[in-house]
Amino acid sequence: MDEDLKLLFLKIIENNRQKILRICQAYARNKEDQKDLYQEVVLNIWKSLPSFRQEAMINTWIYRISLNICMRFSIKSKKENRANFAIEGISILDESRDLQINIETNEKINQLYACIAKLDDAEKSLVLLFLEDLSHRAISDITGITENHVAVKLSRIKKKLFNCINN
Amino acid sequence: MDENILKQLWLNSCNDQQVEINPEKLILSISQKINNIEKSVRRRDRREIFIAACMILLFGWWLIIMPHLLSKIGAAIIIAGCVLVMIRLPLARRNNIKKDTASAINYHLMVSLQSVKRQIKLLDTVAWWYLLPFFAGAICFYYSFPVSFTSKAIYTITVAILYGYIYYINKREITKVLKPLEQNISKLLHELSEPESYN
Repeated sequence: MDEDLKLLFLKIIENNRQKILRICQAYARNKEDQKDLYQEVVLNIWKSLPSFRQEAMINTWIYRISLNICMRFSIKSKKENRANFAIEGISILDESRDLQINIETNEKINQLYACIAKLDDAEKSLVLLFLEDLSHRAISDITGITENHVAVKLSRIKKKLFNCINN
Repeated sequence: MDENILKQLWLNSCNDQQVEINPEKLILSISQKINNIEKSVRRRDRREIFIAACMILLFGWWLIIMPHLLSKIGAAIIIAGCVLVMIRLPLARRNNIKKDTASAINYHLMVSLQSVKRQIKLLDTVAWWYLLPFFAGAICFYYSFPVSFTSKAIYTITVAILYGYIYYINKREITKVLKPLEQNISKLLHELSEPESYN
Protein backbone atom coordinates (compact mmCIF):
# COMPACT_ATOMS: atom_id res chain seq x y z
CA MET A 1 0.00 0.00 0.00
CA ASP A 2 1.43 3.41 -0.94
CA GLU A 3 2.10 6.26 1.50
CA ASP A 4 -0.93 8.33 0.43
CA LEU A 5 -3.27 5.44 1.12
CA LYS A 6 -1.62 4.82 4.49
CA LEU A 7 -2.16 8.46 5.43
CA LEU A 8 -5.76 8.33 4.22
CA PHE A 9 -6.29 5.15 6.25
CA LEU A 10 -4.95 6.76 9.42
CA LYS A 11 -7.06 9.87 8.80
CA ILE A 12 -10.19 7.75 8.36
CA ILE A 13 -9.51 5.75 11.52
CA GLU A 14 -8.69 8.92 13.46
CA ASN A 15 -11.81 10.81 12.33
CA ASN A 16 -14.24 7.95 12.76
CA ARG A 17 -13.04 6.25 15.91
CA GLN A 18 -16.06 7.07 18.08
CA LYS A 19 -18.51 6.29 15.30
CA ILE A 20 -17.06 2.80 14.81
CA LEU A 21 -16.90 2.32 18.56
CA ARG A 22 -20.63 3.05 18.97
CA ILE A 23 -21.64 0.60 16.23
CA CYS A 24 -19.38 -2.12 17.65
CA GLN A 25 -20.69 -1.47 21.15
CA ALA A 26 -24.28 -2.03 19.98
CA TYR A 27 -23.45 -5.48 18.59
CA ALA A 28 -20.95 -6.59 21.23
CA ARG A 29 -21.93 -8.71 24.20
CA ASN A 30 -18.97 -7.51 26.24
CA LYS A 31 -15.84 -5.35 26.11
CA GLU A 32 -13.80 -8.15 24.54
CA ASP A 33 -16.28 -8.46 21.66
CA GLN A 34 -16.25 -4.71 21.20
CA LYS A 35 -12.47 -4.70 20.93
CA ASP A 36 -12.46 -7.64 18.50
CA LEU A 37 -15.14 -6.08 16.34
CA TYR A 38 -13.34 -2.75 16.33
CA GLN A 39 -10.14 -4.39 15.18
CA GLU A 40 -11.94 -6.36 12.50
CA VAL A 41 -13.59 -3.19 11.20
CA VAL A 42 -10.20 -1.45 11.10
CA LEU A 43 -8.67 -4.41 9.24
CA ASN A 44 -11.49 -4.37 6.70
CA ILE A 45 -11.18 -0.62 6.19
CA TRP A 46 -7.53 -1.25 5.32
CA LYS A 47 -8.45 -4.10 2.95
CA SER A 48 -11.17 -2.09 1.19
CA LEU A 49 -9.17 1.13 0.96
CA PRO A 50 -7.50 0.46 -2.43
CA SER A 51 -10.95 0.24 -4.04
CA PHE A 52 -12.26 3.34 -2.26
CA ARG A 53 -12.15 6.47 -4.39
CA GLN A 54 -14.97 8.82 -3.45
CA GLU A 55 -14.05 11.03 -0.49
CA ALA A 56 -17.59 12.42 -0.36
CA MET A 57 -19.02 8.98 0.35
CA ILE A 58 -16.73 8.24 3.24
CA ASN A 59 -19.53 8.08 5.81
CA THR A 60 -21.52 5.60 3.78
CA TRP A 61 -18.40 3.53 3.27
CA ILE A 62 -17.49 3.46 6.97
CA TYR A 63 -21.01 2.57 8.06
CA ARG A 64 -21.26 -0.19 5.46
CA ILE A 65 -18.03 -1.81 6.60
CA SER A 66 -18.83 -1.45 10.29
CA LEU A 67 -22.35 -2.83 9.97
CA ASN A 68 -21.38 -5.66 7.62
CA ILE A 69 -18.70 -6.79 10.05
CA CYS A 70 -20.91 -6.45 13.11
CA MET A 71 -23.83 -8.24 11.47
CA ARG A 72 -21.53 -11.02 10.31
CA PHE A 73 -20.38 -11.41 13.90
CA SER A 74 -23.97 -11.52 15.07
CA ILE A 75 -25.09 -14.03 12.41
CA LYS A 76 -22.20 -16.44 12.90
CA SER A 77 -21.95 -18.93 15.68
CA LYS A 78 -21.34 -17.23 18.98
CA LYS A 79 -18.76 -19.89 19.70
CA GLU A 80 -16.57 -18.70 16.86
CA ASN A 81 -12.93 -18.56 17.84
CA ARG A 82 -11.72 -15.01 17.57
CA ALA A 83 -8.52 -15.43 19.54
CA ASN A 84 -6.22 -14.97 16.55
CA PHE A 85 -7.46 -11.53 15.86
CA ALA A 86 -5.03 -9.25 17.71
CA ILE A 87 -3.93 -6.07 15.97
CA GLU A 88 -1.44 -3.94 17.78
CA GLY A 89 -1.36 -0.15 17.81
CA ILE A 90 -5.00 0.33 18.67
CA SER A 91 -6.51 0.17 22.13
CA ILE A 92 -9.83 1.07 23.69
CA LEU A 93 -9.52 2.67 27.09
CA ASP A 94 -12.26 3.27 29.63
CA GLU A 95 -12.23 6.72 31.17
CA SER A 96 -14.01 7.27 34.45
CA ARG A 97 -16.74 9.87 34.19
CA ASP A 98 -17.74 12.31 36.87
CA LEU A 99 -20.26 10.00 38.51
CA GLN A 100 -22.22 12.74 40.26
CA ILE A 101 -22.98 14.55 37.03
CA ASN A 102 -23.40 11.62 34.74
CA ILE A 103 -25.18 9.00 36.77
CA GLU A 104 -28.57 9.81 35.24
CA THR A 105 -27.16 10.04 31.72
CA ASN A 106 -25.35 6.75 32.22
CA GLU A 107 -28.58 5.07 33.20
CA LYS A 108 -30.32 6.45 30.14
CA ILE A 109 -27.49 5.29 27.89
CA ASN A 110 -27.58 1.82 29.42
CA GLN A 111 -31.33 1.72 28.94
CA LEU A 112 -30.95 2.81 25.31
CA TYR A 113 -28.40 0.06 24.66
CA ALA A 114 -30.59 -2.51 26.43
CA CYS A 115 -33.54 -1.55 24.21
CA ILE A 116 -31.39 -1.64 21.08
CA ALA A 117 -30.19 -5.12 22.10
CA LYS A 118 -33.79 -6.33 22.10
CA LEU A 119 -34.20 -5.49 18.41
CA ASP A 120 -33.38 -8.04 15.75
CA ASP A 121 -30.27 -7.53 13.62
CA ALA A 122 -32.02 -5.86 10.68
CA GLU A 123 -33.92 -3.47 12.96
CA LYS A 124 -30.77 -2.77 14.89
CA SER A 125 -28.82 -1.78 11.79
CA LEU A 126 -31.54 0.66 10.72
CA VAL A 127 -32.04 2.20 14.13
CA LEU A 128 -28.31 2.72 14.62
CA LEU A 129 -28.13 4.63 11.36
CA PHE A 130 -31.13 6.68 12.42
CA LEU A 131 -29.49 7.44 15.78
CA GLU A 132 -26.33 8.44 13.93
CA ASP A 133 -28.56 11.21 12.52
CA LEU A 134 -28.40 10.04 8.91
CA SER A 135 -31.05 10.91 6.34
CA HIS A 136 -33.31 8.25 4.84
CA ARG A 137 -31.35 8.68 1.62
CA ALA A 138 -28.05 7.91 3.35
CA ILE A 139 -29.58 4.93 5.19
CA SER A 140 -30.89 3.67 1.87
CA ASP A 141 -27.39 3.93 0.34
CA ILE A 142 -25.86 2.00 3.21
CA THR A 143 -28.44 -0.75 3.47
CA GLY A 144 -29.33 -1.07 -0.21
CA ILE A 145 -33.08 -0.80 0.42
CA THR A 146 -35.27 1.98 -0.94
CA GLU A 147 -35.88 5.25 0.91
CA ASN A 148 -39.60 4.51 1.17
CA HIS A 149 -38.93 1.17 2.74
CA VAL A 150 -36.42 2.76 5.12
CA ALA A 151 -39.10 5.25 6.20
CA VAL A 152 -41.73 2.54 6.73
CA LYS A 153 -39.34 0.30 8.62
CA LEU A 154 -37.95 3.10 10.76
CA SER A 155 -41.32 4.36 11.86
CA ARG A 156 -42.14 0.86 13.18
CA ILE A 157 -38.75 0.40 14.81
CA LYS A 158 -38.80 3.82 16.46
CA LYS A 159 -42.19 3.03 17.96
CA LYS A 160 -40.78 -0.20 19.33
CA LEU A 161 -37.70 1.57 20.70
CA PHE A 162 -39.65 4.38 22.36
CA ASN A 163 -42.08 1.88 23.88
CA CYS A 164 -39.15 0.00 25.37
CA ILE A 165 -37.46 3.15 26.68
CA ASN A 166 -40.62 4.60 28.20
CA ASN A 167 -41.62 1.38 29.95
CA MET B 1 -37.95 11.57 25.43
CA ASP B 2 -37.94 12.92 21.88
CA GLU B 3 -35.90 11.79 18.88
CA ASN B 4 -33.29 14.52 19.18
CA ILE B 5 -32.56 13.78 22.82
CA LEU B 6 -32.27 10.11 21.96
CA LYS B 7 -29.83 10.88 19.15
CA GLN B 8 -27.73 13.09 21.42
CA LEU B 9 -27.70 10.37 24.03
CA TRP B 10 -26.55 7.88 21.42
CA LEU B 11 -23.91 10.14 19.89
CA ASN B 12 -22.40 10.73 23.34
CA SER B 13 -22.75 7.13 24.43
CA CYS B 14 -19.14 6.09 23.98
CA ASN B 15 -17.55 9.26 25.30
CA ASP B 16 -16.33 7.38 28.36
CA GLN B 17 -14.18 5.27 26.06
CA GLN B 18 -11.16 6.51 24.20
CA VAL B 19 -9.55 4.83 21.24
CA GLU B 20 -5.81 5.25 21.33
CA ILE B 21 -4.00 4.83 18.07
CA ASN B 22 -0.32 4.35 17.54
CA PRO B 23 -0.06 4.96 13.76
CA GLU B 24 3.29 3.24 13.08
CA LYS B 25 2.44 0.22 15.19
CA LEU B 26 -1.04 -0.04 13.67
CA ILE B 27 0.18 0.06 10.07
CA LEU B 28 2.91 -2.47 10.82
CA SER B 29 0.57 -4.79 12.69
CA ILE B 30 -2.10 -4.70 9.97
CA SER B 31 0.46 -5.26 7.20
CA GLN B 32 1.82 -8.26 9.09
CA LYS B 33 -1.67 -9.58 9.72
CA ILE B 34 -2.63 -9.35 6.02
CA ASN B 35 0.70 -10.94 5.01
CA ASN B 36 0.18 -13.79 7.44
CA ILE B 37 -3.33 -14.44 6.13
CA GLU B 38 -2.10 -14.44 2.51
CA LYS B 39 0.85 -16.65 3.42
CA SER B 40 -1.34 -19.19 5.21
CA VAL B 41 -3.72 -19.33 2.21
CA ARG B 42 -0.79 -19.87 -0.16
CA ARG B 43 0.67 -22.52 2.18
CA ARG B 44 -2.66 -24.36 2.32
CA ASP B 45 -3.00 -24.33 -1.50
CA ARG B 46 0.59 -25.51 -1.96
CA ARG B 47 0.16 -28.25 0.65
CA GLU B 48 -2.97 -29.59 -1.06
CA ILE B 49 -1.29 -29.60 -4.47
CA PHE B 50 1.86 -31.18 -3.04
CA ILE B 51 -0.03 -34.04 -1.35
CA ALA B 52 -2.14 -34.68 -4.46
CA ALA B 53 0.97 -34.57 -6.68
CA CYS B 54 2.82 -37.02 -4.42
CA MET B 55 -0.13 -39.41 -4.51
CA ILE B 56 -0.36 -39.12 -8.29
CA LEU B 57 3.37 -39.89 -8.60
CA LEU B 58 3.22 -42.80 -6.16
CA PHE B 59 0.11 -44.42 -7.63
CA GLY B 60 1.29 -43.56 -11.16
CA TRP B 61 4.43 -45.55 -10.45
CA TRP B 62 2.39 -48.44 -9.07
CA LEU B 63 0.06 -48.23 -12.04
CA ILE B 64 3.06 -48.95 -14.24
CA ILE B 65 4.87 -51.58 -12.19
CA MET B 66 2.01 -53.52 -10.59
CA PRO B 67 1.26 -56.65 -12.61
CA HIS B 68 -2.29 -57.26 -11.34
CA LEU B 69 -5.18 -55.67 -13.26
CA LEU B 70 -7.15 -54.90 -10.07
CA SER B 71 -4.22 -52.95 -8.59
CA LYS B 72 -3.88 -51.01 -11.86
CA ILE B 73 -7.58 -50.16 -11.72
CA GLY B 74 -7.25 -49.13 -8.04
CA ALA B 75 -4.23 -46.90 -8.77
CA ALA B 76 -5.99 -45.36 -11.76
CA ILE B 77 -9.11 -44.57 -9.69
CA ILE B 78 -7.00 -42.95 -6.94
CA ILE B 79 -5.10 -40.86 -9.52
CA ALA B 80 -8.42 -39.76 -11.03
CA GLY B 81 -9.64 -38.87 -7.51
CA CYS B 82 -6.51 -36.76 -6.87
CA VAL B 83 -6.98 -34.92 -10.17
CA LEU B 84 -10.64 -34.32 -9.30
CA VAL B 85 -9.70 -32.87 -5.88
CA MET B 86 -6.96 -30.72 -7.45
CA ILE B 87 -9.52 -29.27 -9.85
CA ARG B 88 -12.57 -29.14 -7.58
CA LEU B 89 -11.17 -27.33 -4.53
CA PRO B 90 -9.41 -24.37 -6.24
CA LEU B 91 -12.39 -24.05 -8.60
CA ALA B 92 -14.80 -23.87 -5.66
CA ARG B 93 -12.63 -21.16 -4.06
CA ARG B 94 -12.31 -19.20 -7.30
CA ASN B 95 -16.06 -19.33 -7.96
CA ASN B 96 -16.74 -17.92 -4.55
CA ILE B 97 -17.63 -14.25 -5.18
CA LYS B 98 -15.45 -11.97 -3.12
CA LYS B 99 -17.37 -10.65 -0.13
CA ASP B 100 -16.70 -6.94 -0.21
CA THR B 101 -17.47 -5.55 3.23
CA ALA B 102 -17.81 -2.06 1.74
CA SER B 103 -20.85 -3.08 -0.31
CA ALA B 104 -24.43 -2.26 0.68
CA ILE B 105 -25.66 -4.42 3.53
CA ASN B 106 -28.33 -6.34 1.62
CA TYR B 107 -25.95 -7.01 -1.28
CA HIS B 108 -23.28 -8.21 1.16
CA LEU B 109 -25.85 -10.53 2.74
CA MET B 110 -26.91 -11.89 -0.65
CA VAL B 111 -23.29 -12.64 -1.57
CA SER B 112 -22.73 -14.27 1.82
CA LEU B 113 -25.84 -16.39 1.32
CA GLN B 114 -24.65 -17.56 -2.09
CA SER B 115 -21.26 -18.40 -0.62
CA VAL B 116 -22.79 -20.46 2.21
CA LYS B 117 -25.05 -22.26 -0.27
CA ARG B 118 -22.02 -23.18 -2.39
CA GLN B 119 -20.18 -24.49 0.67
CA ILE B 120 -23.22 -26.60 1.60
CA LYS B 121 -23.36 -28.00 -1.94
CA LEU B 122 -19.64 -28.77 -1.92
CA LEU B 123 -19.77 -30.61 1.41
CA ASP B 124 -23.07 -32.27 0.59
CA THR B 125 -21.56 -33.92 -2.50
CA VAL B 126 -18.28 -34.85 -0.82
CA ALA B 127 -19.18 -38.56 -1.04
CA TRP B 128 -19.17 -38.44 -4.86
CA TRP B 129 -16.17 -36.31 -5.68
CA TYR B 130 -13.90 -37.13 -2.73
CA LEU B 131 -14.81 -40.21 -0.71
CA LEU B 132 -16.08 -42.66 -3.30
CA PRO B 133 -13.09 -42.51 -5.72
CA PHE B 134 -10.56 -42.92 -2.91
CA PHE B 135 -12.58 -45.63 -1.19
CA ALA B 136 -13.06 -47.62 -4.40
CA GLY B 137 -9.42 -47.10 -5.42
CA ALA B 138 -8.07 -48.15 -2.01
CA ILE B 139 -10.24 -51.28 -1.94
CA CYS B 140 -9.33 -52.36 -5.49
CA PHE B 141 -5.67 -51.72 -4.82
CA TYR B 142 -5.59 -53.74 -1.61
CA TYR B 143 -7.69 -56.58 -2.98
CA SER B 144 -5.10 -57.19 -5.67
CA PHE B 145 -2.60 -58.30 -3.03
CA PRO B 146 -2.48 -62.01 -2.13
CA VAL B 147 -3.81 -61.60 1.43
CA SER B 148 -6.34 -63.58 3.42
CA PHE B 149 -10.08 -62.95 3.35
CA THR B 150 -9.95 -61.86 7.02
CA SER B 151 -7.34 -59.21 6.38
CA LYS B 152 -9.35 -57.96 3.36
CA ALA B 153 -12.45 -57.81 5.55
CA ILE B 154 -10.61 -55.94 8.33
CA TYR B 155 -9.12 -53.54 5.79
CA THR B 156 -12.50 -52.91 4.16
CA ILE B 157 -14.18 -52.26 7.52
CA THR B 158 -11.36 -49.95 8.67
CA VAL B 159 -11.41 -47.92 5.45
CA ALA B 160 -15.22 -47.81 5.49
CA ILE B 161 -15.20 -46.52 9.08
CA LEU B 162 -12.57 -43.89 8.22
CA TYR B 163 -14.47 -42.64 5.16
CA GLY B 164 -17.76 -42.91 7.02
CA TYR B 165 -16.32 -40.66 9.69
CA ILE B 166 -15.11 -38.12 7.12
CA TYR B 167 -18.61 -38.19 5.58
CA TYR B 168 -20.16 -37.73 9.02
CA ILE B 169 -18.02 -34.70 9.95
CA ASN B 170 -18.86 -33.06 6.63
CA LYS B 171 -22.57 -33.66 7.19
CA ARG B 172 -22.22 -32.44 10.74
CA GLU B 173 -20.58 -29.22 9.53
CA ILE B 174 -23.57 -28.71 7.26
CA THR B 175 -26.23 -29.29 9.91
CA LYS B 176 -24.48 -27.66 12.85
CA VAL B 177 -22.79 -24.68 11.20
CA LEU B 178 -23.73 -24.00 7.60
CA LYS B 179 -27.50 -24.61 7.64
CA PRO B 180 -28.07 -22.39 10.73
CA LEU B 181 -25.84 -19.77 9.11
CA GLU B 182 -27.85 -19.99 5.90
CA GLN B 183 -31.08 -19.63 7.87
CA ASN B 184 -29.75 -16.64 9.82
CA ILE B 185 -28.62 -14.83 6.68
CA SER B 186 -31.89 -15.62 4.87
CA LYS B 187 -33.88 -14.36 7.85
CA LEU B 188 -31.87 -11.16 8.03
CA LEU B 189 -32.14 -10.63 4.30
CA HIS B 190 -35.87 -11.19 4.51
CA GLU B 191 -36.21 -8.70 7.37
CA LEU B 192 -34.25 -6.07 5.49
CA SER B 193 -35.82 -6.57 2.09
CA GLU B 194 -39.01 -5.12 0.81
CA PRO B 195 -41.91 -7.60 0.90
CA GLU B 196 -42.28 -7.85 -2.88
CA SER B 197 -38.57 -8.06 -3.68
CA TYR B 198 -37.52 -11.11 -1.73
CA ASN B 199 -38.73 -14.66 -2.19
